[in-house]
Amino acid sequence: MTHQQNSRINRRQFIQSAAVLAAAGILPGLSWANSVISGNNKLAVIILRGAMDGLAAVIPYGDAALRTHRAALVPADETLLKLDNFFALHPAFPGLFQLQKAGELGIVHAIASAYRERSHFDGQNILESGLEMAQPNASGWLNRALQVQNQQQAMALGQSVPLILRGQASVGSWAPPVLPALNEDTLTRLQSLYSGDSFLGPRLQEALDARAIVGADRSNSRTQGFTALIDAAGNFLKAPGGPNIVVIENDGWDTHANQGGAQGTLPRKFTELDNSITRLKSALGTTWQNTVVVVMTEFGRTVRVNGTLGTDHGTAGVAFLAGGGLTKYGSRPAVLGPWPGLSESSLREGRDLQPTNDLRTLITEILQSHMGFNGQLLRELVFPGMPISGFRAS
Amino acid sequence: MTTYSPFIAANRFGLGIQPGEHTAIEKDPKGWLSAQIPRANRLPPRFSQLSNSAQLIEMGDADNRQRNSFQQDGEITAAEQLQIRAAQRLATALMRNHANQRLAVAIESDTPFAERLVRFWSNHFSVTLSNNKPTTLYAGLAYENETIRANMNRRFEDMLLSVASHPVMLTYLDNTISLGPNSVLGRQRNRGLNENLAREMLELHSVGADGGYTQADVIALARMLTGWSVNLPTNTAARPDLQTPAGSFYYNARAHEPGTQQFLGKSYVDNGQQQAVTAIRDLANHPSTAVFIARKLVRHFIADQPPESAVIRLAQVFRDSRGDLASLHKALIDLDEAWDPRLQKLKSAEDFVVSTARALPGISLTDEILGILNDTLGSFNQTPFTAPSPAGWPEQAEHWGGPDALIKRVEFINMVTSAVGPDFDARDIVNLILPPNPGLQSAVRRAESKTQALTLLLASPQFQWRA
Repeated sequence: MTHQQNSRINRRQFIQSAAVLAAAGILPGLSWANSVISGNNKLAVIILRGAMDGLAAVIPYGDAALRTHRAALVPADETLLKLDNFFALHPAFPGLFQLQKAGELGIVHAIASAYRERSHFDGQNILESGLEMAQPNASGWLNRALQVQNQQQAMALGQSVPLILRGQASVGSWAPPVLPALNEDTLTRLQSLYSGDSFLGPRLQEALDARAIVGADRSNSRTQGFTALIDAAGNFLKAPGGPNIVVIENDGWDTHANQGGAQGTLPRKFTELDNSITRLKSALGTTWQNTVVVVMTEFGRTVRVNGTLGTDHGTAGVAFLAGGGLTKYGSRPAVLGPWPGLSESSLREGRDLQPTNDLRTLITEILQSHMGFNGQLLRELVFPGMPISGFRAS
Repeated sequence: MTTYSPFIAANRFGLGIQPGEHTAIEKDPKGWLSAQIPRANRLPPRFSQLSNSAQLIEMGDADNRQRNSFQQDGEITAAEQLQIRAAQRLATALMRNHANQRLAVAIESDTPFAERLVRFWSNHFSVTLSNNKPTTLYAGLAYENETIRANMNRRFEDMLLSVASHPVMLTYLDNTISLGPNSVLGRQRNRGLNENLAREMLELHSVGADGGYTQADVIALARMLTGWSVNLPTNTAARPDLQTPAGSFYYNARAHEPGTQQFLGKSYVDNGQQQAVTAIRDLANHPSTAVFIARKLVRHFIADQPPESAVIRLAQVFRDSRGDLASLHKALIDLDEAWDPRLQKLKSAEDFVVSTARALPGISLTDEILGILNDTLGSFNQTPFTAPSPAGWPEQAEHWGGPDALIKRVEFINMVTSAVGPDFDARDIVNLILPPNPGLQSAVRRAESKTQALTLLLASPQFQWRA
């Protein structure tokens, strides 16, 4: 665990100056007393890198245009985990389906960050900075949030502190003692690069075949790595005096080819995510009751299946919320957010799901109502460019 | 018309391009290389504080002597055990420091062609150090600097002579225990020749196995080399030459085989230590040596299957310049084959690790990071001065690019890119470290994260080759 000691002073200075401003009436309402929630609440942010295909995760089976765009990617109707008469979870999400029945799951469809181009790097930069434009030295929105509310302690779980947590406020970080395993997607891409090399290509393939035989199964070892992070998240969040915010990253979501319908690469990722959230719930025990998990990704994927049975970089996608902390919001639609539709004329640039919500507005809701952050400060300092319209539930 | 590619200059002849070097190299790739040749004998500042080989051999000898004395007087006491451990800790720290400094010199070198040449010759005159020869265990880097680096701008005969008379080589190839059967000591002890050094000098260092020598030539050279030894004390006596430092070269006339020797068709009168010196200078300038060295240079720098035209040309330069190393090095980069993009060499493990670090600007060469990189060399079985035989590290792609080695390279890169963190943008360097390759560029651009992009770049097949 490492702490950035040198940034503590900066953070204190920041809080002090913010308090001075508040006293002068420039930023009204800087007071924890305004919060209706106790300071005991927990937040876990899971960043899915590579752009999860939201239309495959939460399937709008009631939209007549769905199967004309991507029949090959839609599992059989009777296997779908139907949430209502329009949306269904992919069959690989039995755990989330159970949570939904218990009121512990929130789904937001057709949601996107401010980013409207198609680069992973820039998309993730904006997802984590919460700004309008990709900037090489940006701070992360969660770090800026910590600067305005110093009761909160955050921890990055993984080999490095991701952009979302970087900035003036000090944060912890923890990584499992073993190096991250090679991920399946990276190996697949490497195989493709090596396929053009007549000397090295066959040799790399032999090595991968040998590993498969001796059981160094790469998907297993990768899953184990993520499992270790989930277990750590559970332990940290329930530890007295531990961090109340954790950030976990998971990669391998960039499914350009053979992503699979009922089974395959993407459904395996769904299973991994589903298992992880179920596992986090049991690891947290009673702490689950005051926890909210936010699952987000840099952008969605194209509505139409591409020529290699995958999908390409798109715009709007899905965000998941999970946790016992959601039950306090009462009954609500299974899937939140206005549905833009999949008809040709509804698509963004003729190919993408049109965004109807900005991720920052959803995050603001959670930070404010669940974690007790001050809404005004969130809008002014954490998400300065956020649309004023706010989150649209329907 | 030869095209001088900056990537071939830096990757085939250097230690891997540093992204910031690209502009300077691009102006005149061949000129960038040739300007380094006269600087090849400079001692890098990092090495200036290191002890010389004599000091390190004296230290190794003292440590060994202490261990032996403890063992000989019966049981090792607890106090003795502590002393042994303390000596081991010092030795480990010293060797780690040497390994780290040697790696750092390669990673930060601004004369990487010169460094590659030093490493080529060091491997040509390879020594394998181990606990079996404890006196020289610490002196590998000093040996390299004193015999190879110091002679880079002289003639091949100077380097060969320097190597053959260096205490590390004399110890490694057993010349220190070789006695002329008819010498004073040989008759006293009824002991004789050890041919190891003489044989390897012929087979590996000069004319090559097919160079036209016989067993009689091996014996003749071994006889002439008798007496070439190291100035160290024995269990019962002080070091033989009190005028020169312990651990340095010592010519022991009482071990020298008397008489004229017939070697490679010439007669060498017995003038003591000078007998072998004269023979070695002739050996260095033997026509077979020119071809053997030329072929080895081409095989190392240009192709596992050396184009014969290139070998012939370099051998000619070797003969014409009487083995002038700078002329030879210049001739190497003057070859058309040197710039042929169709010829390829796979990076050795060391070159792969070094070029990886060079590709990442801003990497801080702390002892911890250098230690990790050295451990990586260990896991690739290429710890410096531990080659499997006196022939040194192999050249062939088959040796370095086996399936297991490849997957280890990918795993090493996975470790490196995890440590580099998510900020480093491989798109910034892809066109600066490797020749344009649409497939690779697209893979880097389309990666799902910056970390993955960097992994794909450094683990790519293109980065495994030296061009």
